[in-house]
Amino acid sequence: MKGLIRPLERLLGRLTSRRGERWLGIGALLALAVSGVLSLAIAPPDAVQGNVQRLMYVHVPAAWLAYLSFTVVFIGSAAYLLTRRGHWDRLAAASAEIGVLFTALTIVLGSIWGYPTWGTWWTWDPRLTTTAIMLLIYAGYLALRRLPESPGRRATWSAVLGVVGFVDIPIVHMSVVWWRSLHQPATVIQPGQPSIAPIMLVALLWATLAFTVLYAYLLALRMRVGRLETKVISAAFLPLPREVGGVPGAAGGGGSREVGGVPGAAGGGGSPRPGVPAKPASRGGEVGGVPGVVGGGGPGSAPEPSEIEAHAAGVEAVHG
Amino acid sequence: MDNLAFIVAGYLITFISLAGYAFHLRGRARRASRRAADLSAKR
Repeated sequence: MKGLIRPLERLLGRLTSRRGERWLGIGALLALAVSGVLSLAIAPPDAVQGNVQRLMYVHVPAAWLAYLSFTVVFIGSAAYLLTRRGHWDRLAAASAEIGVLFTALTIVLGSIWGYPTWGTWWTWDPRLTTTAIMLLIYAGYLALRRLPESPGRRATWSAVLGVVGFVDIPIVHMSVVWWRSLHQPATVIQPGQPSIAPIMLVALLWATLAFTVLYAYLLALRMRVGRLETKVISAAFLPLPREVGGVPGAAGGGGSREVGGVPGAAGGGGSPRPGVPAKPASRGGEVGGVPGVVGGGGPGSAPEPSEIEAHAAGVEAVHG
Repeated sequence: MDNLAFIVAGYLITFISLAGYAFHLRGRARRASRRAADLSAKR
């Protein structure tokens, strides 16, 4: 298992580099443009449903991407539990965020397609219900990541949910086979030949490829955001050189110094009285998306530089 | 074209949500990058 992780880490590093990100962005734009032409102009309308069936070329790829995103969450979470390396946790967090977007998109597009074909926007059909449950599981996962906990503990809890939550993915996929469903069964991934016209299949496969490249681009971009925000947090913990060992209140502040776009970060919790320890900035003291990181103190309550560095090292260890 | 409104709505929602998310991430990356540069300049 651990032998598999190294090559995966190398591939991940290459894909999420700045150059990789740029190429993925260009590739996604081109592939989506071609997909638009294929699905709206070249593919014929469906014999029964007419043109509204063209929604399939966005609905099915969005659903596929939701599966892929949550599979990546599972891989990232399992790898984090095995290795305790921060970049796996970042990968899982990034993929979960994108997966939630694609799941919501799948449900909305399915609803828009469902109304003219089924006559209803929503029904408690097994496929629809299990997909809604999947959305709730991963929305919960994102909420868990906002808990004001230590980065290490939060990463562990999230990884456990990332592994356990994955159980729902095969249930969503197989729901149309296991239970009586209004939703149509699989047309491409099924035993025997795909039950779809070849030109429609080409348009569908191309759209899926284009969405996958877009997913890779969004993932690379989201991981860069994660890296930068971690850097900001780590930098916020280190004392400023001129303030260390002389002026009280080093690296703390006690005001509302803003870091990572979040007011109050890295400062927070300033004690009004000298000599009274400041509280951690758990409320309003969120730095770059990581809630509850320790802020500094007011006058006379500066943490020891070694203490700050140890905490920063802890953040670095978890977030890579 | 039958049910044109549904098709337009579906494609527009897809485009706006994905492009919007990509721009949101780019903005977040830019802000975080600026903050990181500011902090390292102070050191």
